[in-house]
Amino acid sequence: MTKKIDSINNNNYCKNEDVKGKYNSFEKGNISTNEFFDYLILQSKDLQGESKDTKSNEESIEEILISLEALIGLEKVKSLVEEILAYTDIQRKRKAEGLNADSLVLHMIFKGNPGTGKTTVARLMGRVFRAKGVLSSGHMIEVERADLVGEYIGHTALRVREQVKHALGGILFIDEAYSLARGGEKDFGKEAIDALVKAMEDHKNNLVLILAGYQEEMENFLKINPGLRSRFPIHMEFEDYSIEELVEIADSMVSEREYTLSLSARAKLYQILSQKRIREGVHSGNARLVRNLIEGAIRRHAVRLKDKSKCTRDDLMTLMREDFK
Amino acid sequence: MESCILMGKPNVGKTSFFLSFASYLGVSKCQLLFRGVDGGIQRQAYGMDIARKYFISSSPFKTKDVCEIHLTIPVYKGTQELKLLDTGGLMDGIHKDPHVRKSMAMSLQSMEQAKILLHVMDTSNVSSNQINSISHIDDQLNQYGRKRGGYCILANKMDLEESKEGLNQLQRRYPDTYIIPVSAVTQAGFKEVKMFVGRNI
Repeated sequence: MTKKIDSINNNNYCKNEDVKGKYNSFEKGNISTNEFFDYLILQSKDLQGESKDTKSNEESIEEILISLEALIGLEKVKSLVEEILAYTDIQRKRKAEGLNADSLVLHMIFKGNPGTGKTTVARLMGRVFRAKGVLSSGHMIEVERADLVGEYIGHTALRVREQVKHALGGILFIDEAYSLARGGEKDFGKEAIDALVKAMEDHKNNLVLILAGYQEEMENFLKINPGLRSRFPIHMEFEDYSIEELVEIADSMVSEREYTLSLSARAKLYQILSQKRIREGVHSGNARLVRNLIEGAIRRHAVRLKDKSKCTRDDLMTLMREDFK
Repeated sequence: MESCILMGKPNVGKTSFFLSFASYLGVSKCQLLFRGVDGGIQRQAYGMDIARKYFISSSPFKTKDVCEIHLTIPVYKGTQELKLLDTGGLMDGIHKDPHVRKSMAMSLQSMEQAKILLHVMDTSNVSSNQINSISHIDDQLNQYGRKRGGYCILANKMDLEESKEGLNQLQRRYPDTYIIPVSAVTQAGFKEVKMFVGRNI
């Protein structure tokens, strides 16, 4: 490995020497400007080959939008993302024309039941903003109450500041944000909220803050802190998936893992999901529940096939009715 | 800090554009950093008018040093600092004066390091056979710039009458390149230049 690096360094070194030599002979008047340029153009050909690798790491906005489009359901969210993209574009164009343009405040609140895709969408937003150039790195720092609230007086603000520092250039995603306001009068959660409000104003150019939580709790949370609502211009509501959408999600999850569902297994899945919906209501877990069901089924599928002496390719791929419980 | 460099033949208005663009971006007093031909670095502050009087002339190779100024430019959200570099002109062939050769070598060295390459041309003088009309070196600069990216042509002196025809000729000669018609005198087209730099930094 070190040898490789050495040889690369050597290579660079040789190249540099080469360039220096060219500069020298150019200065001395041994080669003309035109000859020098011919050489530069030749060199940049090599460089282009190298730079291609770094370019492929950068995602284009189209690719990200395709992966957003691939998410099942979430129609409202998709149209909102479209709105935000159009908004950033137009604001930039307005700015270029010298028109009055609001600075882009993109702090968001995500409301929705568990397993409706809040975290997934937040991650995608990071990538979208990075590709759009709104955020410099587009990474996402996921925190919860325990990461923000300190143990003694004055500790909280420090912890918040630290998390904000990590998140600069990207997204700070606070899951179950309402829990910050839950502890009563003497709780340090309030302090955390104050520190966050300060940070989101200070770094509004290079930080997107996303508060996520369950619908009702978030509503209460915003009622208690009236200043908060206006500071978040974007509110996204994540609706519960219908049973059909959940089965569709199951299909995509299964095919992602290179399995297939047999017809009866799909019927069974449908039955399980609708039963859960009736029994536990909307808190049953949505897409996360589907994932758990499928992962469970995959495990049972493995147990079922363990003692079988001969497995066909189909056997290895197909999840049967009895795998779901 | 990323840098943005102005290149072109002598007497196409690189320095005029340099000073005019700096004042367009709100610089009233320019802190200039000279990298002299003899290797020395000198820092000087000038008022805009005095700088214009000192550095701009109609004789070629007025600028020999690589001269830099720090600017802030709006980039998406927020702003970014960048260095704008002014250079001496480039000529075909081998120039007889060793000082000029040295200054060209320095320009080229800075060009390799710069992120954005703005190629200045004299639009009023495209087809005539003067020192600042288009020649082989422009073609080569264009070829090099297109390869490495962050490159556009500034068709300068658009305030002059004969430039319209010149711009047409330029567009025909470099059909694949983004050409921004500008005028260092009237500051026309500076908005586009600012946007181009903001996009590519």
